[in-house]
Amino acid sequence: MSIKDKVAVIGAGMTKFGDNYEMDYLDMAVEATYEAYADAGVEPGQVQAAWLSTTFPDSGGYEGQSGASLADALGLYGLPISRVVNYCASGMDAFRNACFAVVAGMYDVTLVVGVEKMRDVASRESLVAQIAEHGHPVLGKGLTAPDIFALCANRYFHATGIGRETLAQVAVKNHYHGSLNPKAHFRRPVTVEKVLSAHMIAEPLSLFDCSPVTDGAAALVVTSRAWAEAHGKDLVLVKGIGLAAGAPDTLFFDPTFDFMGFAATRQAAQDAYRQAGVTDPRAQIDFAEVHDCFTITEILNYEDLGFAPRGEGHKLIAAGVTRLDGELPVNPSGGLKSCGHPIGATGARMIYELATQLRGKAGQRQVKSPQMGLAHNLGGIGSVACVAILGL
Amino acid sequence: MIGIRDYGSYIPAMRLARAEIIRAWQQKALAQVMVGERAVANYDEDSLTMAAEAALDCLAVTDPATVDGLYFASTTAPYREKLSASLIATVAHLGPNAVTADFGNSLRAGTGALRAALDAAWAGRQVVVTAADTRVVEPGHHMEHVMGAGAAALLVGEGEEDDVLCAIEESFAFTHEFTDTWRRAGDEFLRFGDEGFSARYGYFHCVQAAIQGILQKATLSPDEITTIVCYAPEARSFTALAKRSGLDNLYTDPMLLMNVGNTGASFPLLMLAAVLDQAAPGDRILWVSYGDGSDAFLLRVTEALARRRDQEARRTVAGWVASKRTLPNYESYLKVSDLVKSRAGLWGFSPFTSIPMLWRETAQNLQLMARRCNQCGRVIYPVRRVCPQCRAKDDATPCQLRRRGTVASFTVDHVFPSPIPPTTLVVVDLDSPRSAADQGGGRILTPLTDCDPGEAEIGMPVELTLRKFHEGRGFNNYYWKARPVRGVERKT
Repeated sequence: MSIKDKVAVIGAGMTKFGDNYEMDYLDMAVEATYEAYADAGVEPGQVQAAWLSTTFPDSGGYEGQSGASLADALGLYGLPISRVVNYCASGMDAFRNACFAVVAGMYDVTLVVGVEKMRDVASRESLVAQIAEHGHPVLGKGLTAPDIFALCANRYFHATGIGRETLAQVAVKNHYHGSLNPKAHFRRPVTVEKVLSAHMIAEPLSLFDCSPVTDGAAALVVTSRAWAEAHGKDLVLVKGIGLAAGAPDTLFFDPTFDFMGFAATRQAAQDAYRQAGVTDPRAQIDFAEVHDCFTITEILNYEDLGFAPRGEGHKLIAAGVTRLDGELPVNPSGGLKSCGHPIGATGARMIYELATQLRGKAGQRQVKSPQMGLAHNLGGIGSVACVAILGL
Repeated sequence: MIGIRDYGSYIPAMRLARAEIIRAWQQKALAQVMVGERAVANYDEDSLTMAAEAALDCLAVTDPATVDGLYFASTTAPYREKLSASLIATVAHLGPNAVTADFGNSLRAGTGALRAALDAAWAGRQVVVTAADTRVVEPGHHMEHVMGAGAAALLVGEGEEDDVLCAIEESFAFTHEFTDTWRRAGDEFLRFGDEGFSARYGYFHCVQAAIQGILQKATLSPDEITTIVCYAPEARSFTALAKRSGLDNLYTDPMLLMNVGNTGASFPLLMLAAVLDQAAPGDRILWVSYGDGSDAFLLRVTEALARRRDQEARRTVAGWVASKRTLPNYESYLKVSDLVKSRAGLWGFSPFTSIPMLWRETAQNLQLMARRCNQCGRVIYPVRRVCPQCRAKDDATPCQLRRRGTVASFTVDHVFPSPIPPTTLVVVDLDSPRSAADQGGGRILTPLTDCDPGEAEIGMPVELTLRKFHEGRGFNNYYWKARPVRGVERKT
């Protein structure tokens, strides 16, 4: 079964990502959604179903526990609205669910909104409290998100001989791209020196190897291709979308895990490539938004997505292949690193970026004549990944 | 014969130099006398975890099914109401019909438990006694120099000449109502009477009465004893006792008092363990404790002790003493001992925990019980009904994880709360069980403790140690951390 060329994204919107103290959860949902409506040229009354992605409602005063929060924000009472949660892959999984409902013929016009309010709680306190107060009482106690990828980084260094300087180049690239993106959280370029001298979070990852804590919302209008074409919309097509629950929450208790990448990404990508007819990702994918929650993660993603062989992802960043002016631009938006990571919104923001780039509306950060773009969202402890391919 | 069939010990890794205490409190007058170091329990240790270490060391080559009981002794038990012996017995894989009891409230609690174990042995039972203390003195009090932390365990039972390490031939009890050092239920710190008065009318009075009493009971003269192993509150007591009593065969090795300190209820047992590490077959040991009286025992070392020492590398008291990490300063001691109010540490948080959840997971968490899939051999840990590798359902055999392994990866975390940040996390590939040809010994993610930041390395050997993780919901949540391998280890 393939979804190829049956579903269209006709509009996308997003708030500025950052410390959005003056907007509450509902405000952000409204701003992103109405920008998407305007971009799509649709009226709210035309939306037939919606999917909401919010991963940590308790950081945001318990809004986003249910799809009903979206009805509340947008006045969409009476519509079928589901909340989708799959760790950091929630946003793209919400998109995926909308796509399948459209392909099934249930709805012509749907809405996908990712919203995350993280800055209403002091960020260090909330992150520390999350780890200290949640999770199993003793098993794996103390494992933070940076720890997960730091454990992989140390093993990756051991296997390949690279060091922190290579990771820093990922941060430099993405902060540069972010400086070209008016909606990114952080818009100032950084140097390798700055990354290396920043204080440590989870060795070998410094503050600048980590994506920030951010508020934000992104929204998409997703329709059937037939409806989009019948209404003369400026559309991009979904070529393939895969999701894989690839690992247990207890990944670090699995003796077969080799720390060098995540099966969830490989499995989701395989399914997406199959649907889209992609046999040589490095050649056929023109640009990608990948889940760079940490600098090391971007390098592992290159390998898991088939852009580079196992153990050689670091060569792409060192050679500048994945810069905006390179052969395969990765994270032209600035990625999680520079845009920030409002967790439930990130997957939707990636689709926003693909749609914007494919329709030539990316301004200073425009990739040259892209035909096909890939978005990758990874969640949990390599627990789940979603890969979506959009094209013209 | 009835006697000690095996023994074990444990001394925490952390040390505080006495010179550092002198610097912190400007105690120039003590500079000549207070030298060496004292042991300090790490922030994740308590008397229960230390006693568990000693018990596991003691029982390393004993089938737990043959152990009928476990007695825990301490003046610093973690709970005033909740048994520590039952938890340690669970960790040691004793069965549900084990006799478990806690002994407390006196420096004599360790030998009090030993006496009860001896009586049980006469009744045909085999009992392990494990004692531990981490006695807390008010910061700035000169007794801070003297106190230490440590544990020791003795397995008592009946056996033949070749499996009893030393026979317990005689015992003597002397009870004495006296106020020497004490701590009431609500007191955080020890209180001390007049030291000269306590020494003369408490300590010397009791130990001399006990030594004379047991020799008389056994119709032996002092020179028929190879070594008198007598509890000493501090280093000067050895020489004072020798002078007062005219005895010249007292055990006076300052190793423990100089490097570890006084370990409370476990101290007599720890001294005995140190002596047994060196004793020769035929040696007669007169062993004396003190605290609200004295317990005395007459021991005779058999060939079995020498044979044991020759056959295998095993932990010794000297090995624990030598395997140490000196705290950088007095402030670190305050932090790991929870003597200073601060925002550091997990104690300020309220970690999620659940009594029913931990009860369900008792075997998995406290006994390191995994399952081995009968179809594909995968070690399943944490336990799951469906094999993650081959999807076989409910088709696995219980198997116990080893407590040794190597580091597969690590990180040093600067965010997670700890009294002495940063914290190190390690992924450990556990050694394979000796008996099965299988897919290895399982893997565990856990903090690395008793280490320096930056010490962890891929491939480094580590061992698992029971530690207190936090006090979520107001009770102690224990599980296993890793630590760099310490001292000498058993080959078996």
